[in-house]
Amino acid sequence: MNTLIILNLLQQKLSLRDVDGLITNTYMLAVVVAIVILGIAILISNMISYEGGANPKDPGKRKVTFWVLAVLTPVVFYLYNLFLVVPNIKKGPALDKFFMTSAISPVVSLLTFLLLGFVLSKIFKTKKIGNWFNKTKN
Amino acid sequence: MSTSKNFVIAIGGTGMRCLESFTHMCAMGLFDNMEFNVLTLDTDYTNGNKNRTENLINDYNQIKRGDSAGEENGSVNNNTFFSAKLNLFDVVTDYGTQGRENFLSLSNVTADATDGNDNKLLADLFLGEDVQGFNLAHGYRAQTHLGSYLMYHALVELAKKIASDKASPKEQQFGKYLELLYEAGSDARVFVFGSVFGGTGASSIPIIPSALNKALSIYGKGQQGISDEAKFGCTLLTEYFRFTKPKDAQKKTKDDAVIADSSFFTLNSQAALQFYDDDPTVKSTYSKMYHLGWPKEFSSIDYSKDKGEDKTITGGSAQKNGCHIIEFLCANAAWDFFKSDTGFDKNKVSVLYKSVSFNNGIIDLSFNDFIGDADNGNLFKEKFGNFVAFMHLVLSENDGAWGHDGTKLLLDRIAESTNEYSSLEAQYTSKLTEYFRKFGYSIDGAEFVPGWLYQLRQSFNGKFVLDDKAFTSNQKELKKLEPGKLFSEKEYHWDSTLMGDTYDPFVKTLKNDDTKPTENQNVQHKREKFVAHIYNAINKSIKTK
Repeated sequence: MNTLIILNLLQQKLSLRDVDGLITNTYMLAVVVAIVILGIAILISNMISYEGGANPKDPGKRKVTFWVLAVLTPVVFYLYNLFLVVPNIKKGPALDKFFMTSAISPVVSLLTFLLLGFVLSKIFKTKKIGNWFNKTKN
Repeated sequence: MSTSKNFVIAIGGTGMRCLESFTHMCAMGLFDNMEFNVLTLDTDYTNGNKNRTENLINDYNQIKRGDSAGEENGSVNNNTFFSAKLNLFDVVTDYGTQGRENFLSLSNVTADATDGNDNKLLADLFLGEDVQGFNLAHGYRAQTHLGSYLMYHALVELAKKIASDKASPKEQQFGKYLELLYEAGSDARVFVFGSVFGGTGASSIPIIPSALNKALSIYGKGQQGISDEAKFGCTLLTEYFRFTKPKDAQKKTKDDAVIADSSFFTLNSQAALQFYDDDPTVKSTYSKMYHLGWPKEFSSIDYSKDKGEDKTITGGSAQKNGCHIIEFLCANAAWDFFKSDTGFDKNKVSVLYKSVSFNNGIIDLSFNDFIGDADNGNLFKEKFGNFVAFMHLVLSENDGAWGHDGTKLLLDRIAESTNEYSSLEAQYTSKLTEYFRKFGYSIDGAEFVPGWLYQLRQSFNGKFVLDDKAFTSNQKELKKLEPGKLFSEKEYHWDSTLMGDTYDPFVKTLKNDDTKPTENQNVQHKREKFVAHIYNAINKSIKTK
């Protein structure tokens, strides 16, 4: 829904008075994107099968999955802002005002991803996502 | 003190291997809620088969044991692996001490040998000179006429020694066994494992009930005896293996003047069966006799093959023969004996057999061919299949065969969800892994070393309950083996992922609370609880459960 609103707004070049709404929506979208990518991380982690043997690789694979997606979350969101949002804002004060948001919102998405990931991993520590923050050697 | 009324006696090398199979059946959980007093009886304390079986039972008890006094052998469990409780007693006839090496020195007939001496004449009448003089430490060497006499004598002599407080602590084990037999009274069930074609087993089977009764009478100072209502059963196992024919050069010494010759085993079997069919003592003491034989059309297993033996192995530590499917069938006969309530007619011995079809040297054994069909067949399928799956979980899936502690790695998986078993020590997990190596297989360097199950599989051509790939010895295939797909029939497979992986859903099940041991399983100690937990997880993993 947020994306639709933002895209709708962007069809016309945004002026300074529209930017406040855009900023709010962007932060909300950052959180939503973090949750969606976290969902993908959960899905992939659950799809990684338990392995037997003296050196099972599956906990390591789940950890890698989590951290790769953690890095991708702000990058994706930053690129989204850069290529889909910023070009549609009128240059000048409007763009200047959005500049800080485009820098901070990826950090927000990253922090949201990490925070929720940590909480979920600890809540479900006996499940596969428990591997994200446990102390396995893999 | 044990209250078990079930007694198992294994005699001689073949009897020991039958007991080995029996122990593995107990490990599979086929004797739920039962306790057995097991007596190993041999003339040869260094015998490889005897030591191997006793070590196996000791391992079994280590896997079950509790930490308190009196819990050395664990407890009687239900609906789990290692559910039966085994109390091991060991008796070896003493033919190692100087003056007891052969019949001549043991009976002392030479000491007072004068012309016309009755004992000497009697001995000469029944026993040839070479039979009187060979070394008894490696058994009776197929001389059953001598063996029956000496085994009876050995047990009676041992009872006298115990009664007069001259027995060593090890020898006193026999007294304890007799005591338990007496306490069991009319509920006692005694099953004897042994062959009828060899030496020690064939010699002992006919005299064991009488010898035990006599020994008990001596032990109890004439006040005790085996109840008339006690039930005796045994295997009548005819020849199924052969070994290198003894060369004349080996028979030159007095000690080795008599050596068992496997080419006479068929004749020995026929003679023994005729005797059992005729002998009133045998017929009045045994209630059930299970007749087991191996088709003559099949090549019997050669225990000398590929061993480069230049002479016949007569016994000792070198006698460590591989296992055969017929020994497992003997153990199944014991299952029938202990589980059945009918057919015990004191006045008539029942000789039981079950035939299995074979064609062109191929014998296909399904789960209905062991302890019966219908419910019994299903029980066998479940217990056997689940235990082999447990073995592959430890050995193949978790590298137990490659020297790692596969049980510990399984335990680590459970530890991700519960601390219940955190006190289990590495000594325990490595013992369980070691048990599975003996049961299944191990890898020594690049070499595949078959354990009991694989030896059974190699002893005949045809299907052995599970799909052939469950018995692969190819290391790459073993690494990829799915423990949940051991049966050819898909309805017995475990839940799997879209990619067909059964280990992943199994571990998920293992971590679920509903696989924790239940009260009904009657598991008392951490070790038994851990095994029951795995049992439950395997059972719940089966799709059709």
